[in-house]
Amino acid sequence: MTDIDRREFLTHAAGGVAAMALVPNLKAYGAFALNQPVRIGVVGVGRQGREIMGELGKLPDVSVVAVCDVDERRLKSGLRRSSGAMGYATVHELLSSGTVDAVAIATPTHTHKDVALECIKAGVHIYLECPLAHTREDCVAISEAARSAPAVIAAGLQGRSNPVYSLARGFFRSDSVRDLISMRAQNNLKTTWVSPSNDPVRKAALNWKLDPERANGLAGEWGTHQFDVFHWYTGKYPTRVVGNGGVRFYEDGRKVNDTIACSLMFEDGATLSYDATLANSYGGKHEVFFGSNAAIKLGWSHGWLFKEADAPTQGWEVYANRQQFHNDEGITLIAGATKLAEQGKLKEGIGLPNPSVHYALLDWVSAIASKGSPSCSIDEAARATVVGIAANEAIVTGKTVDIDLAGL
Amino acid sequence: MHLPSIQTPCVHLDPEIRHIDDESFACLGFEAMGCRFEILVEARLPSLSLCDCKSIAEEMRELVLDWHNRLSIFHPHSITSQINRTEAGQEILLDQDMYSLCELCDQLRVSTNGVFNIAAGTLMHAHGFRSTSADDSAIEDLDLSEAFTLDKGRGSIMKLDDRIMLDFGAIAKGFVLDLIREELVELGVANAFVHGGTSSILAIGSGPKSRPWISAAGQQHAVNLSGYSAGVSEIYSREVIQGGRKVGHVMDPRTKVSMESTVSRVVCVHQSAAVADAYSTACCVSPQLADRLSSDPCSIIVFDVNNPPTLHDPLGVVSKRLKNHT
Repeated sequence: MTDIDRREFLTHAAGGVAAMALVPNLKAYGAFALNQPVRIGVVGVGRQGREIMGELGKLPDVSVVAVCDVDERRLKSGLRRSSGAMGYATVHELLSSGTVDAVAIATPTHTHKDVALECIKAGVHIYLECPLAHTREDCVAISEAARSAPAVIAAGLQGRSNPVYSLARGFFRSDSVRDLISMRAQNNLKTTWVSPSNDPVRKAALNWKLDPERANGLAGEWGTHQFDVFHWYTGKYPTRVVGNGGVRFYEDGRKVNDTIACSLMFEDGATLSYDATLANSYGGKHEVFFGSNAAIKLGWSHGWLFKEADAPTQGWEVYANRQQFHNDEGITLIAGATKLAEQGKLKEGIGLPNPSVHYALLDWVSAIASKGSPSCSIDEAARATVVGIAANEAIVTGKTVDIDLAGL
Repeated sequence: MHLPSIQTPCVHLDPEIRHIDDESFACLGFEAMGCRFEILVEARLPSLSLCDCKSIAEEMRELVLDWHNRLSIFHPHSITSQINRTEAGQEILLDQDMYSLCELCDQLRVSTNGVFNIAAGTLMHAHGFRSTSADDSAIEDLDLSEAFTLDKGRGSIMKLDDRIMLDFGAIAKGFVLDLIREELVELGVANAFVHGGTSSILAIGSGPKSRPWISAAGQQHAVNLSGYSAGVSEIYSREVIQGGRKVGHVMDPRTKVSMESTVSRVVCVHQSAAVADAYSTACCVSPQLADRLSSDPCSIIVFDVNNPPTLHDPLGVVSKRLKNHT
């Protein structure tokens, strides 16, 4: 961070009441106005697609008018979650109907390229779930097509639109952690990662994540989202990665590791350690920045600042809410803290009222309304996805893999 | 071995099947809808491996959590909260799933003579179950039988009074168990047992050792739940102190006051878990309904603190409890 950045942040954050520094303006995340409702089609209505439908339903001036899925059962489920939407088996049929201004794409990762390119060609606004694709070539193809598109194309790396993450990034960029020593992240979730079906053909189609030809394992599917948080905060990308993994728990013949660990190395010597497992949930999903003055821990709906004893004190800390973690005390980074305090609702453990995807969709629709840019561009998503692909390659091969972001 | 927590004084599993072999059953427990859910799904090789069953149980957990988020009155962004804070006279478009639930609730209100009513949430607020500022006088003139209207053509709901507060708590668990049954059957599951907080139960097929899913119901009766669902309601399971007296959480929407009858508990066994939940709630409030509702058909046991249980058993699922069933 430059001194100018630091001064600029401190001027904005420290002026007036010190406690205001803790408060991202949640209201600003919901501020958009449209001349007419955006007509949205949701492509891919599995679990993620249905969640997107639910969150779009909470937004003003948005109407889900179409749902699309090649899987008949999922299409029916999606339609049941809509109010009068039309159903389509293919994205081509959906786009040909001419009924949508925008599409949210939540299809399997390996299908993103074909779906996204068709939507870009049709000129509709796009929200594209991440990882962007399962190969570097597909990332490049989507990225190149998106650059010349007049529509708003947002990528679903949700950390970039998460109010808690934006708030914490302000602290990070203003030097609250001081010298960045190291970074760590994990995603632990006890789950089979299997979508059930008693039809073998359908089961194979639904379980693309467990096919190494169609997906990039835990590092690709989960890690990409978390790696991007570090890219966004530091403004840097790793250059090399080493890793390992194995099937430690699920003895069902799967070929994709259920447990992984990798180290992503940056040019300046910093290292991001990442591990993930499907066999244990302890600690869940989080990212940590370790600095000489403090650590910042981010848990998607929550964030905390852990200060060192020799770190300088800032005025607002006196009023801050705190949470105990064994021997450590975290200052809670609460989105909308002042408003909650006024309502007497500021309490320990309070987090974001909506899931991360809500803010990503809100950011996208706001960008459509303002003809602006979304928080996460396709280019940023392409780079994060390629990092995830490289990490998976390192884990699968056991070799050190150079991360090539040239041209992205 | 897995031990499901079906061991309330009212309902607990036959000891012969209570210990579940986790080599043949996938077991998953989690918190949702204000209680602990447990899902047991039996593997059946070669078509249904234990890992398949685990993934099925996980899918069902997602289904429950999804509906928890959609229906919770404590979540400001749930559909229920959106309905409750919308002004009277303003139409709210619902998705088809949510409209189906509202329609079912309205049908159950009619079939229970207005005793089961999701607008009873209004009473929970007024009597202080939902806030510290109870004011039951504010709803004296309110007619809960005309709380809202549904428009099937548009798939919408409209509140008819600003004071109306909907609460799906009395049926949410049963409704989601019905959805789970549909999914489990579709996925080819032959034997499964699911309960939410032991008060809403779904039993498919048979239990371990091919024995039926038999559960004790009170001191004298055992119920064969296989192929059925059960709903259990208790009057004093939750209460607040109002005006120096205990007020139970079962309210009569017709009179708008808490019940003070001698009925302590009602168990209803029905094909549908949602209907079982609604009927058990209705019979807690109005036990004389049991005779008529049992012709649905369903089996109903009404427990009274002063008298022996009253039994209506057209399904023929209730038997005398075995001695060793403790």
